[in-house]
Amino acid sequence: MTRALVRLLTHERPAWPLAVCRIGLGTAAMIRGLKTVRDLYLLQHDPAAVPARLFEWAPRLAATWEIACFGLLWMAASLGLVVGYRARLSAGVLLALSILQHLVDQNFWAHHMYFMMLMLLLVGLSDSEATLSVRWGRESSPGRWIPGWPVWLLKVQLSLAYFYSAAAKLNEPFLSGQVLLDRLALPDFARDPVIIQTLAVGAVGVEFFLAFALWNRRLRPLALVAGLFLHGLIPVTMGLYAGLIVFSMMVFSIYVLFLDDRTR
Amino acid sequence: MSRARLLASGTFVVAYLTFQIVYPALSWFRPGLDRFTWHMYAGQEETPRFLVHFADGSTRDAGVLLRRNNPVRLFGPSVDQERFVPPHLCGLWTGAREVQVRYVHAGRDVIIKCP
Repeated sequence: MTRALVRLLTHERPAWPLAVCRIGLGTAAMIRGLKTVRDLYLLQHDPAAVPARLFEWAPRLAATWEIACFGLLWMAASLGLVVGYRARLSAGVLLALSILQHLVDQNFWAHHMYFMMLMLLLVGLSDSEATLSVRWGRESSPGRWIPGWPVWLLKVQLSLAYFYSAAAKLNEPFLSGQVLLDRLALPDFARDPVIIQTLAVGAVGVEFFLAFALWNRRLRPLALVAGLFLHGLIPVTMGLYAGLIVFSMMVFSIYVLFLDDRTR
Repeated sequence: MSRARLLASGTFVVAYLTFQIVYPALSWFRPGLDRFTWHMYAGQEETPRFLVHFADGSTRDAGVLLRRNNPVRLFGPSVDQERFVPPHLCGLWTGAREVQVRYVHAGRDVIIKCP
């Protein structure tokens, strides 16, 4: 057990998959930042937007200049991740701003935000700018190897999210197709009970499959295709919501980590 | 890798994995536990509809607040809707007497009086 843990903590992986993942995460953070700024503004200026402040002691981020500062800082840190300039600091700033927005209003609580915070934490602990970054451009050195455990944790995190998400759907409202009927914009033929129940059971099956198959070299190509199909289809059928797009982008970013298995 | 760094990394990995494996599993035994879990679109909690009843006897449907283009809107799926939406509707629409929170599939209604 201890040996396996030491091996996990000391093994190294190629740097390029994590660099691509970092770029994907930074891009996803940019999109999320735009939505956050818009929502912060609407919560203060649109009477139709329902505020949900949980903590009275928390900052309000009500003034336009406060929202602008928040947005600029968020965007700068997201850009830092994308170009790989002070990536650890950028991830830390984004993580702190994410925590802040959770304190400001419950409207900002969402599963994709939690997932983003976990990714920021793990990318912040890794050497994600070893390649495809400003530092790499200055040093102009060829491919590198980086500590592998944060990469491994990112992959495990995705599998756990798939597993627990599938397990949570093992209930009557979901398996009967009711949730899909409520949430998805489906053509009439797909609203047939047999088809909708098949879709519901299929969605749960795909999530369980992805939780494990991504780790298997033989099943991985099929898993990647299934995952791309699943996460590509969700925004199409549910609507192009920023949260769904951001989550899909983060998931695709982690898929890249499965593409290169080499360790040393 | 130095011994201190190895110890710090190991502690983090074990603590992280323990939380991420154990905490979401707790929700199997404690329904309603949603934070820090992966229940998105799992159908474990129904999204309610809101109806506003006015002093003149009329009723206005405020709809499902998570839907895009709804006349009144929430931006996040995790908002405690029973707590935050009724006071907002009471203040938003003049003459509102009470707000009915309707859970269609569960067949449950909650009535909240306006102040």
